[in-house]
Amino acid sequence: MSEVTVRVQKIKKDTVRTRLLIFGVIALLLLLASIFSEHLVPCDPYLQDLANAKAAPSAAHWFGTDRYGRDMLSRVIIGSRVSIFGALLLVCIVTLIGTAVGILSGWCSGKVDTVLMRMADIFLAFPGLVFAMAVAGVLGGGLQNAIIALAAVTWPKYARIARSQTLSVKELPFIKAAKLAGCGTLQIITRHILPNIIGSILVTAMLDIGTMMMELAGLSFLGLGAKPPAAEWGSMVSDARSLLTSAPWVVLAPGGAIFISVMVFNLLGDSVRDYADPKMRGR
Amino acid sequence: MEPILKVKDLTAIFRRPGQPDFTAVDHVSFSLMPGECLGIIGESGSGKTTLVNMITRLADADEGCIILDGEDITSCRGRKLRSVYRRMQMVFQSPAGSFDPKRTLGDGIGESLKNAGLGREQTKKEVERLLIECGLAPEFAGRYPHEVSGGECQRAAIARALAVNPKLLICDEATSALDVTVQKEIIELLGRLRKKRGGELSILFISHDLALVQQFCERVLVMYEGRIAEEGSPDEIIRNPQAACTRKLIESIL
Repeated sequence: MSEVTVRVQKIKKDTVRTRLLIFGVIALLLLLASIFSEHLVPCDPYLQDLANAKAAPSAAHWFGTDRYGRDMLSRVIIGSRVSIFGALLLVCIVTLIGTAVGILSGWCSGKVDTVLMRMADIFLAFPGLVFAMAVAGVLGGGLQNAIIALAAVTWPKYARIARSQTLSVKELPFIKAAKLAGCGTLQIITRHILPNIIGSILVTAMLDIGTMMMELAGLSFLGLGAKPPAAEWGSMVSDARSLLTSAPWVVLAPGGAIFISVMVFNLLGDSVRDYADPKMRGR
Repeated sequence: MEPILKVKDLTAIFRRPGQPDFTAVDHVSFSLMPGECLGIIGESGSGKTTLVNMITRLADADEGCIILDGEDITSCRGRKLRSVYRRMQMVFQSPAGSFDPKRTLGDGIGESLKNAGLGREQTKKEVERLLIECGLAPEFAGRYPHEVSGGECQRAAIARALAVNPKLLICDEATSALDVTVQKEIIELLGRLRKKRGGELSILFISHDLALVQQFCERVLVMYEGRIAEEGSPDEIIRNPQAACTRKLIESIL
């Protein structure tokens, strides 16, 4: 390989690493903010002050107040807990279930594989958010049910990735070698298959955090997620949409929060994907 | 004397939908005496690897039986199979591919020992001893498969196979992926290890290279289209080949 190519690769690798670091730090800050949101809020996010309703942004209320006079900044900060944590929890659940089902299906093959994958196909056949709405509608509103609904439509994606990776890994000679070394099935799966397939699953999970945040906010916007008065970005946008012309800050504050955090987690996911790409590792 | 490995009428049939069945291994019988080194040669597609997969129980046999050390292992599974693997080990064709890319060589070599219940410290010591025995420095225990050369990796693979002190070692094209000088080193290593263990270690050496088999084995089987075409000492077979496929193999190396 020529000198120039090597140098270009090195520069690319360095920028990827810097990007990963920057977005990683921002995402971490968002996460910390959501964990300590109770201590960060300047006012009580649930305290109504009708005399001061729909006040424009000012020094006292940076993001203004909503129709009940509640401080928007505090509500956006406290809402981050549900929005960010909800999305992370959702991604964790989906990754765990999807990976377990996928490995099982890829390892067992035959009938088990057919049954599990047809089940995944059934879930995949419905358009995601519509199906989630139906599930949330049947189970009733509430954040918990919104998470269950979204998990139900997302796990097949992870199951498919895990399955295809398992299928390709399990035919490799080192799995045979592990069998000859006296490993049982469970040992082979946990010691040899999982570590070799977890990379691509984690990358997909990182890329999905932003999407999950959007969908969770979407369900809340439709009234199927967090219940008022709980502060949640999606439902806050929904509540305030009639005020868009008279008091736009009530919509813009949570909307901007969704926009920024979704973007940060998406860019973080992108950076992780680029970083995990073996061509970028410069070996 | 009882043979260490006895294979009788072993048959593998691949059933393919929409096509006639394909008999990859067709009633193969042979036996291997303790301390002996038996070569199996044949062109690719002659059924060598399928035969080995059946003997090591990585694939099921459709017919016939396999007797290891007086015990019928044709259809054993689970715990019993694991005890079989303490007497029979294998070295694979692809050096790097036979080690888990996410784990160190030492992990791979010590895995069978750990599974047999050896402690961490003892395993480590034993791994180092095996590495030295196979001509590698003890530091190789901490390396990953992609950090070592093919020859070094294959030495580690031999160390792994010998960890449980097996009675039968199967080398499935163990030298085919290496270049000639490294091939020679590996063959010499195997010869040395065998001599050291006296009559304790028997080797089943699968190859497509007649010259290697001639150097290393006392007896050789020639496989062709799933059957044993010829059997004898390597010199005998090279000097006076009976089957057409043997002649073809000999011509190809001259």
